[in-house]
Amino acid sequence: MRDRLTVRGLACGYGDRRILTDLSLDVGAGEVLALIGPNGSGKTTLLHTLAGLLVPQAGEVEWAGRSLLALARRERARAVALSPQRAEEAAWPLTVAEAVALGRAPHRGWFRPLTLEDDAVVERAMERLGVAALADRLLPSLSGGELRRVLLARALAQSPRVILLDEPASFLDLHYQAELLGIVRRLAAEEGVAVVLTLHDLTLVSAVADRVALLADGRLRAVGEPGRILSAEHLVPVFGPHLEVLAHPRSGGPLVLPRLPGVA
Amino acid sequence: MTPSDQSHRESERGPDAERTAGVTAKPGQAAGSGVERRDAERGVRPGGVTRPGGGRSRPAWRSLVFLAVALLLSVWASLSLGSSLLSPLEVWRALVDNAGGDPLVRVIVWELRLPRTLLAAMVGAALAMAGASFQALFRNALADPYVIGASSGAALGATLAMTLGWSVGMAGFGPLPLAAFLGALGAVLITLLLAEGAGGEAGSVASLLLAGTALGAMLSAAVSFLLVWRDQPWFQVFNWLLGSFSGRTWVHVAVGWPYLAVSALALWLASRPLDALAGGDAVAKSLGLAVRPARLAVIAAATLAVAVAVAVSGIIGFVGLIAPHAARRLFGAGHRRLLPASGLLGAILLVWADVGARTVLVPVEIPVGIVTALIGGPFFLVLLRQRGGRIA
Repeated sequence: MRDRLTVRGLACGYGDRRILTDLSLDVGAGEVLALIGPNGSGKTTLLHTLAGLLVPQAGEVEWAGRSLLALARRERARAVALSPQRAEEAAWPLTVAEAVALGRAPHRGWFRPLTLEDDAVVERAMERLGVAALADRLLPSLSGGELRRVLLARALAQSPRVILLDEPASFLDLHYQAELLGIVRRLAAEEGVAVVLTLHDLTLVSAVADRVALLADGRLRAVGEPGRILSAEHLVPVFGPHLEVLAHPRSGGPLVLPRLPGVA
Repeated sequence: MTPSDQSHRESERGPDAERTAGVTAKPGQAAGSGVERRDAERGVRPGGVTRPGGGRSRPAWRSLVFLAVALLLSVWASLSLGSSLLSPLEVWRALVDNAGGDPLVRVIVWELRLPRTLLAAMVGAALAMAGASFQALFRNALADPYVIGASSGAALGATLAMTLGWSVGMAGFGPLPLAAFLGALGAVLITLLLAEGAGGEAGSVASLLLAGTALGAMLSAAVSFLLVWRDQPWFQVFNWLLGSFSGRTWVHVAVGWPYLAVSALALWLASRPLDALAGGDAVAKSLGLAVRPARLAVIAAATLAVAVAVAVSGIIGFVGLIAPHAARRLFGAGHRRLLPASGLLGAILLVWADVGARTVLVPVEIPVGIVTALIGGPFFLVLLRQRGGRIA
């Protein structure tokens, strides 16, 4: 059986404030799980908790039966990589190669120089994401799509079992959205990484995700295949009535579209 | 190396090794010929090792050597320039030949100009490295070495010492430098405590900046109050506040260099954590960095450098702001190269500023802080204009 990321009875939030309660989920290696839910439903909080940025208030997070919560910071960073929503490094002129090489820090430590083996991993991660040609470019000179790919390359350079992506498609043109999510799909399948990502654009979900988890009111409302979760029955109680679910003319998969109030 | 590091290394040879090999893909291709072939295509000189974390095609290390040579030449020039002009040859002879040459020239070179020039270079390097570190830490290009209150703390310390007639020296520091040193350290400490107390995420960037600014304003007010209230001859304080290398001797060099060397080394060791912190706390944490301890360590090292610099030379503005900016333009923001480059540029800058301070209005000497501000201000504006307000 494939290794799985397993979340059991998780409660998390900031300080005493609880955002999510009693959440249980699992994602297998090679699988892509999309977290959806209205603004403030705790998607990012969940990702940050899985990444170790927040300490859970209750519950357990395991990879292949081993607790991730018990791991030391660096050990955990070797298992779980996060690409956050706000890319603050976009303002800081590191080269692409330097930014991706930071992904080796959990393996090599902060003081020892990188080995040739690290260099090879970094090189390969950049090629995998198609940013090897940009290696010497400075981050502020990149387009939004290029930057996203660079940050994903860094996550891959961490050689993790789990990659967490917070809104990887936001602020990208349609072209870059398709390109990036295509890469995510292939990475999951070919590298055998479990991918958990948040998406607020529901039209993208069924294209990229194997399974979907719907969060609302601090709970996991439903989890399952896109065809089942992306239905009016599940979505309307959470997102309200201003939406429409159609069948994709070719794949037959669900297409969620906004329906503007007062417009026929 | 900590025990956990050790066990990690061993575990890599174990189950993890397999994993790493998996990511490296076709082993021969990744580490061997494939990489070299691509280098050749890209125009990277053959034989040079491709280092993603290092310089790659940027000829960084050669430029650093170039800067070091430029610094040596600047020091040399500084030794021959001044109220009495010496030829470079005279300077050279005075430096290498202990017995021969004009004794007066030897005194000028060895006792007057060399110590203050070395001190200027040290202080310039320290301020620039501290500035570069604070800029990365605060993700703010306008941060300078004094951003969290070191300068106003030092000013208050010095003013107190003068108005109260304090006369205790320690560890080679005279009373006034000692008071300035303690004032700088105290102010930064208070800033840290205030930021902690401000709630939110302890030690967070924004609360540090705000606390530093607020404390700076209060301390400056206290300095002004002391000066007005005690009706002191404020000229001495004022002169010191503007920064100067006038009358500095080997004693100052001897007292200052160990601290500055230690903090420079500590900051350089923190290059990769600084790279990670510049990407934001979430990134740094998810890469396994203990963010708060790392930030405190950087603040401690930078503050030590700034406090010693202020103690031996007063408050010299702009060097710590400009040198890192220029260095980032030349070398990018990877701190492994940026920190040495900033240090060298800061040293060169301050050596020449000191030359200016003692030659522009001969025989009167002007405070070096005025020179750095007069040169630095316009330079900074030009930089800003060229880059459209971006960081580098």
